[in-house]
Amino acid sequence: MNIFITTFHSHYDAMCVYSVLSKEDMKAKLMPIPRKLSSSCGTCLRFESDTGNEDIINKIISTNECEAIYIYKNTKYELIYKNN
Amino acid sequence: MNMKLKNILAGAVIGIVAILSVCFGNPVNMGICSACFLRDIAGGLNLHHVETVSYIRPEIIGIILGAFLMSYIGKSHYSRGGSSVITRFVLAFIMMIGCLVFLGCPFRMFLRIAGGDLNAVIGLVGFVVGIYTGTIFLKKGFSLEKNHEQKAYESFIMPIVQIVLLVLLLAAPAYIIFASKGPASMHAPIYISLIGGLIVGAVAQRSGFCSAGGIKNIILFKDFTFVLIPVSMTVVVFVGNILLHKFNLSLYNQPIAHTDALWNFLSMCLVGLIAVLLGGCPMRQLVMSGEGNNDSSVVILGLIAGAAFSHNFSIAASGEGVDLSGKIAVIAGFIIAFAIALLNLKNEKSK
Repeated sequence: MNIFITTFHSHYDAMCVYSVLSKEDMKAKLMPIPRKLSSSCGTCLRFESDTGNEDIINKIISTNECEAIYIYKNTKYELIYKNN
Repeated sequence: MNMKLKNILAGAVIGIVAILSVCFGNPVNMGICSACFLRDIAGGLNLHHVETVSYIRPEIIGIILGAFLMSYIGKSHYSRGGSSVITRFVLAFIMMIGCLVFLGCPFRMFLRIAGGDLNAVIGLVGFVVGIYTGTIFLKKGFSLEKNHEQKAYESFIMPIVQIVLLVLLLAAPAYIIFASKGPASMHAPIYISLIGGLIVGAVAQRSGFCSAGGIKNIILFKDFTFVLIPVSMTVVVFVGNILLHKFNLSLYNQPIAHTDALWNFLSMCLVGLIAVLLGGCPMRQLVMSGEGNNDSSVVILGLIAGAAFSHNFSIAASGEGVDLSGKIAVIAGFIIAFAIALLNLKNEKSK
């Protein structure tokens, strides 16, 4: 099972993507951004997935709401997507 | 180390610095206060003319430089800004009015609670209500503009300004005002204050201390991790006050406080609301400024301008209470803050 962290510009953006994932029956939750990723007091979305990662990530990217997506591996966050 | 334990330790260290600052000469229940100390700096620089609250407080210099050094060493220092600059300035200006009507920033509110000041408990209730109101706007789509990467030198401006302030403090030229009586005349030796500020800045940078953020996280996510920092700080200062026989559980006879419950409530409600809109309390803004966040540097300038304005126009409260001008300013502050919040809602049409 992979753990992903998605960061956003605003809490509202995070809520929008959360509602998209909820409709897919994804195991997701909104939470404060881990300090290792940002010093802001912003909101991130944590979700777990073992299959179809690319589909889900593409779905999140297609909303054009997220700033970045990280995968959490061995207590480290690896950047896998950044919205420029 | 477990995150919660780290936060408890961080809060304890900040609390120890706060209580030691009082031992070395800072006013009781005001070991460190972002709003009061920025106001003192505004007076020291002649931006207002109330001599009793004029002094270049080394703690502020230390907090920004401590956060700067810690973020630079930790490779989390980078230059960014350009987000809704004038809006941030206005919100900061209003936040300072709220702080000076209450007589303290949220950081000092916790210190006052730890000293037994029940007026600050009323302030805390208002602060939580304000944060809750702010989270409603967040859920409705409030956000200021996105910040962006800026030239590296810009992130060094605020730390360099602190060095200049330190030189002015040490050189003490005639045009810098130093209080000979009143709250600003009560201060620890410069090097003690500076070291204390450096420690608080460094610890706050590493831990992400924010008086408002922890409460906001409880409301939005039921996450208690970050509120442990101010809670731990309050407990440590409470114990320190007991040991130093400075604990006085009462509404009355509290140092640098008034007993006007309604305005203690409303002023901190305004501060809580704006802290959510700006993404951090005044202390957090000082730390983020040190990290290279130029939007936070603008907020600090807004806080200083607000402090100068508050004292020049008798908006700031005193031990006797809140003047009519202070009450009008708080109400006007709510109207402006709500207008800004509504004007920055992101709706489906704007996407």
